Parts: sequence; C-alpha cells; structure tokens
Amino acid sequence: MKTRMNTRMKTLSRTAIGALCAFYLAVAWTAVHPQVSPAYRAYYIEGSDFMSPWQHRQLAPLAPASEHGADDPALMFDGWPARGDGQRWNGGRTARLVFRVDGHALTAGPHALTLRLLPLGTQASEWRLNGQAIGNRRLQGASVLRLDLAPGSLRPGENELRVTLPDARVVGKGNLRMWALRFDGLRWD
Amino acid sequence: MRSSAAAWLRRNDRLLRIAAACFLLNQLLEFVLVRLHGFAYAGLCAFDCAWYAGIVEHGYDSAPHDGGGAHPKHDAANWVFFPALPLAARLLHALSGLSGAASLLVVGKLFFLLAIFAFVKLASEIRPQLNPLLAAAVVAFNPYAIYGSVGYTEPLFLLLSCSFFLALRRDFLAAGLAGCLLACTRLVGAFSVLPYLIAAWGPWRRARPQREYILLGLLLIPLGLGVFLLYLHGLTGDALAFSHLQRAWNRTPGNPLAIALAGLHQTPLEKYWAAMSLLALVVPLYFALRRQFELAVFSLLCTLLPLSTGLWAMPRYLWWQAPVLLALAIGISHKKLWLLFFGAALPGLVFMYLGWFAGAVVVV
Repeated sequence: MKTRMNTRMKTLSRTAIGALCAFYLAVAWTAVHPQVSPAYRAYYIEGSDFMSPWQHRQLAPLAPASEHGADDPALMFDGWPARGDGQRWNGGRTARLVFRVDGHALTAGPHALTLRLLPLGTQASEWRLNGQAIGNRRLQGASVLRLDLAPGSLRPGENELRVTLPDARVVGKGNLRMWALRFDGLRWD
Repeated sequence: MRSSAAAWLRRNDRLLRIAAACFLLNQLLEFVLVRLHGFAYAGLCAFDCAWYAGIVEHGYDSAPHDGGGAHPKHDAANWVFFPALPLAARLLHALSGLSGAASLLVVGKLFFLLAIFAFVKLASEIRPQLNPLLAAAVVAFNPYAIYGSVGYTEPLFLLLSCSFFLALRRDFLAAGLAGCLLACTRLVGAFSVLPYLIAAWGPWRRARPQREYILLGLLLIPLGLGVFLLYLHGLTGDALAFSHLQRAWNRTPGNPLAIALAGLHQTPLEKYWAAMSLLALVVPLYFALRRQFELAVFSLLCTLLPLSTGLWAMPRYLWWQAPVLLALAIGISHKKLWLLFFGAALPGLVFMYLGWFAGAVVVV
C-alpha cells in the first residue's frame, strides 16, 4: 500500500516537474519575443529613443513660415536641459531636437530651417538633418542661422535636427554641465 | 489538526506574545504621532502605496500615463509593481468594501505583525541565545520600521523571506512555496533560488529518493513570477514590462559598487545612503564566515540588485532584509550596545514619520 502511494507520488511529482519546465520554456519564449510597437521597443526596451511613445503621438506638426520657441509643443528637445523663459541651453557636446512635418504641407521646395541662437562666446557648430550634414558654422553673439536644405532631406513625419558643439565648456567651479548654445527659436520655410 | 495547531501555539506562545507586544508598541507610537501631528491615517498611504492602491482598485494599467503629473512624458505604469501585496489587499477590499488605500494599510500592518513573529522565530533558530525581545525590537523600532505601516511591500517581503529560511530547514516543498510568494512580492525574491540550491546541495547528494521533491520545490520558486510575466505579456505585449518601465523612474541597471562609490561624492543624503549600502555588504561576509551561506548569498543579492539601479530607496531594501536585521540584532546584543542603538533608532523612527507626513524625499 505504502509502496503504491510512493510510486503514485513520484509519478505526480515527475509530471509536475515536466509541466513546470514546459511552462518556463513558454514564459522564456514570450519574454524574448515582445509584441510591442516600434516606439515602445525603441523607448523602453532598447533605450534608443528619448521620446516616449506618448510624446511621439502628441508631437504636433510644425507650422510653415512661423517661428517656434523653446516651449513650443511642436518641438522635442534632447540634450537641452536648462530651460528658461522661451529658451533652452544645451548641456554637452551634442544636442538634438525633433519636429514633425505634415506631408500635405511639404511642398517641392526649396526648404530652409532658420534658427535663432545665442552661443557661449564663439562656438563651432555642425548641423545634421536626419543624419545628413546640412551645415558647419562658427557662431558668435546672438545669431540667426539659416540652413538651406537639399531636396528630399526634409521628410514627411518626424525629422531629427542634431548639432555637434566641439567647443562646449564647463562654466564656473563645481558645475559639471558643459554649455555651448542657447536655442531661442526655429522657423521652417 | 486542532491539537497540532494548539501544540504549535503552545510552543510559540512566548515568541507570539513578544511579537504582538512590540507590534502594539510600534502602533501606539504611530497613533500618538499621527494624532499629535493632526495627520489623517488614510494619508499614510502615499508614494508607492498610492500606486499599489490603484492596482487594488482598478487592476494593472492598460497603458502608460503621467502618474498624476509626476511623469510628464506619460511613460509610467503600475506594471513595475509586483502582484503579491496588491492581491492580498484586493481580497480584503473585495470582502470588506474598504478603499484600496485602507486595505493596503490593514494588510500591511497584519504582515508587519507576522513579519516580527517570523523574524523572531528565525532568529531563535539561527541564534538561540539571542534575546527574542531584542530581535523583535530591532524590527519594530528601527528608523525604517515606518514601512511596515504605510502599505509598502517590505513587511510582506520580510515575512516571506523569514518563512522561506524557516521552511528551508524543514521541508523543501514548503520552502519552494514560500520562495514562489517571495518572487511575487519583489523581483529579488526570485533569487531565493540560490540559497535554496545551497541548502539543497547536501540532501540532494545524500538521499536519492528525495530528489524529486527537492527539484519540485526549486521549480516552484519562479512559478508566481512566471504567471505575472505571462499576464504582463497578455496585457502589454511585453512580459518584461515590469523591468522596462523602470525607465520612467530613470532607473537603469549599472555596476552597484560604482553607484555606491559615486554616491559618496554626491549630496549628504546620497552620501548617507551610499555609506549605508556599503556597510550592509559586511553582512554577507559575516554570515559567510559563520558558514551560513544561504543567508550570505541572499543578503548579497538583496543588497546588490536594488543598488544596481541606484541609491534611491536603498534604506528600506536594507532595513527590511532578514540577514541584515539578524546581524544587527546579534551585533547590538553585545554588552549594552542595544541601549545606544535604540537611543538613536527611536528618534530616527519619529523623524521618518515626520518626514512622511511632510512628504519629504528622505522617506521615499
């Protein structure tokens, strides 16, 4: 009687062990195969996007021929941490901003981006739109920078404007942030 | 059945009384502070407890949101919070009609009482000569004992980790079940697999007929976590959403030692947390030297894993860790060190309550 019980318990526990192993395989498979949107994957899983999926959805299209300030919800900033009244200072040697262009408003061109900026002293700046170089400028004093765009470089949907600032520097003792440029406004024509 | 329960009660009568007395004194202190400060009891459920209350009342979020304005990128969701505590509170919520916050406070306090008892019981088995009153008082009157009363997971985690270590000395299946619940409470609970393996190694080699039970116990530990992961996959499409959503709190894993050492050069509060975290690493060393490797490994993991995501909230991860509390109780039992300890700890506990009432960052 006792032997039969022991055999039954053994069979039961072996079945449970097998079932649990199968269950964990299924869990492991689902864990490495997430079924999520590209925006979710980029922001939460890969960490390659600074904008949350919600921010992507909320980003309003840039109105043509009008200036957008630093507080404008049509602009998303990364690497511009010091926010003031309608302005933003960068923090580091690179910074970017993302804006959306409505496909209907995107005419054949030519197009240009005009930026109002204030550099810290004299600053070299290298500008890229969606990965393509669009200008190298040395900035000094309050500047209006016009970047003429080649046909096709501005695309419908989201666009990324990235600036590299090799002369960014730390100002004052005990301050870890590197400053280079203040963003005051952007206009798309 | 009834007679065995009565026998258990008789055996543990003294420890139960000590645990109840310390719990009641703790609650009396809280009552006096709440009344003197004119604070509402319901207000005790804040910060993480508020997130848990949302789970108790509405379940897990269907999409990320702004967390009441605290997350302007709308990237936060309650998926990061493990289900054991909200499930227990939800049961009370369904049975009693109490609000989610009140249910969390009530079950949290119940777990607090049980955690004190479980800790005293564990202490009495690991260090029989340790005064159980001292062990209970270390849990009930340390500066971070506040988390036992504010609807956080800490008392449940301590209760389950003590239960796990107690079961590990008796029955591997029971230990597996305790480990399973522990893994549903906080992620680090899933790593109870390692102390389990250490404890099971000897019996595994000695007794071939027991091997199925040992293996079954081991496989039970991640079961609850696995169910939670499948649930998250169904809800969000991402089984690891609990981990990935940490981005909303700026918590990304790094080198825990580098984080602690960097903390020594930050604000005074971060310096304090970093020093505390580094000091806590003495505990695994202490238990390793005493050849209690299960406690050593558990303590090491319970310190390093949360530390790898930052110093934030480290005090409660340390002060609700059974090995840390045990080492502390043993440490202050020498000479009259306990007088010195409680002379500092009690004002510390009062300070933490005042900080909690004020919503200060030091308590989060």
